[in-house]
Amino acid sequence: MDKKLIEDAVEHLQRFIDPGVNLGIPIDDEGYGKMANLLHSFELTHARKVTLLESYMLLCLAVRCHQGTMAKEGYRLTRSILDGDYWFGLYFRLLAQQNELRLLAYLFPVIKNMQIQLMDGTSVTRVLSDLFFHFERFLQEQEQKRGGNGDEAA
Amino acid sequence: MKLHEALGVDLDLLNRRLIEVVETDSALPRPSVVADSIVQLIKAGGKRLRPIMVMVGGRFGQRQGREEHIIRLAVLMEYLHMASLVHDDVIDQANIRRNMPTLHRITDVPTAVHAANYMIVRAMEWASEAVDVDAGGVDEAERLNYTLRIAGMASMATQLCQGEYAQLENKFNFALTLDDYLEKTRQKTAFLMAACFQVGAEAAGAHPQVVEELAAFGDCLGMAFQIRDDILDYIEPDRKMGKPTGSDLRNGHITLPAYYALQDNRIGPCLRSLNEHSSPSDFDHAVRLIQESSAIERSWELYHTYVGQARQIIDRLSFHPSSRDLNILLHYFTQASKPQTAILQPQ
Repeated sequence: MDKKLIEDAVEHLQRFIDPGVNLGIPIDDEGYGKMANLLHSFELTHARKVTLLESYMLLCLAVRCHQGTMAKEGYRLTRSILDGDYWFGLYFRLLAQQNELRLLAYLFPVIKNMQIQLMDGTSVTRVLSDLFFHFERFLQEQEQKRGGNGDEAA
Repeated sequence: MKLHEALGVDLDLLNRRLIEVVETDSALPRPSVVADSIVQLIKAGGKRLRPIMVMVGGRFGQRQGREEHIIRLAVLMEYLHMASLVHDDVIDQANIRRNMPTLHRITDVPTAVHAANYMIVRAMEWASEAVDVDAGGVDEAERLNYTLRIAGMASMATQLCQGEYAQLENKFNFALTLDDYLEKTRQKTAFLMAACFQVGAEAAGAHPQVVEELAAFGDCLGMAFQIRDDILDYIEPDRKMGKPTGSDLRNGHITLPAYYALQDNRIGPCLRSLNEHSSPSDFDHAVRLIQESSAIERSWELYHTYVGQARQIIDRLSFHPSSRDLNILLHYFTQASKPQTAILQPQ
């Protein structure tokens, strides 16, 4: 597992959060390590790997916050909803700023289906596993289109 | 005359397009409580102010054949708004929305929260299909540019959240500054209104200077609208929502009238003694003091400053025939809360 990649993604993300927004990013998620390994299996620049890992992290954080609304109330419930909304919004902002527009469009139906699955009671673990699969498929498709060079945003 | 009629906006068409987003989604299982609830929420009505502002912004464009793009962006804007209402209802523990049970009451909290997310991403997916249905076809660059615009709209959630965080973390914070209040107001209300005009105008290919003016107009409109709302909270009870006067203060929110009243040495100490455990009569007393102080008048002065700035922008855009529509909107937003004096009444 590439700890440096995860640390770089977390560090960049922490700087990307708006000043005054009090949110931390846990780095002990084994899913991040798995995604880091996946990204290493493709020919991508370090900067692009950081962006893709960040986008995956943001979606994981958003889903977990919103799933965490179960059995919460008052201030904690409000924070769970707002935090999930913030991560979700930051995901769109990140990919727009980094010009990852093909990935953005590719993931519209994927993220939509994740929400449908969550409404149907599918576990967060299963939903995030599906998300991982779609990231992998996107990278494979990009690599095939570019004739082996998957390192191109937009 | 209603707003959409005065502006020549086909509200029935807009509502049909809103329903189309859900009904054309083959991924959503049927029958579905969520799908039915979303359709019911749309059918229950609404003023559709945000999509109307997107469409008015689109009238300032120079490019022909952008109608489908603009209406899809307008629909997306309304979905972003509706989704935020679903989350607001959970936070506020509201039972009723537009005379219907709220979604989290019909289902449960996590389902309602995910349903709101579904609404956002489905609307983005649907909006992104505009580039496929446009006559004449579009190139890849245009397709990506359109995706960028859609993502930009969804990323506005971060601004809205910052306004909500500020409100949540500053309950009964009597040290709040005027800048804090204005920043929160901009993030919660004005930013979105500015974006509505900007998105419509950009999609229609308006001149960048016109886009900038329209965004500034939306900002002024939003600031004036929210300040007016904050003043009216102290002046008249919201019978429709069952709220007493001063409900903001009772919930710990320091809005503009309370901020100005805090500057008054005769009232300030009384206000600063309030907290979440204060009795209703303590709040009644504090609200009365604010009503009788100069705080309301000073708040109106700031409101009029923003209205004046909005008028100046309309003057600067008067070369364009659609500046008439901005006048109609300004009139609506500055009169809508006083039905007895309104020419254009809210629905």
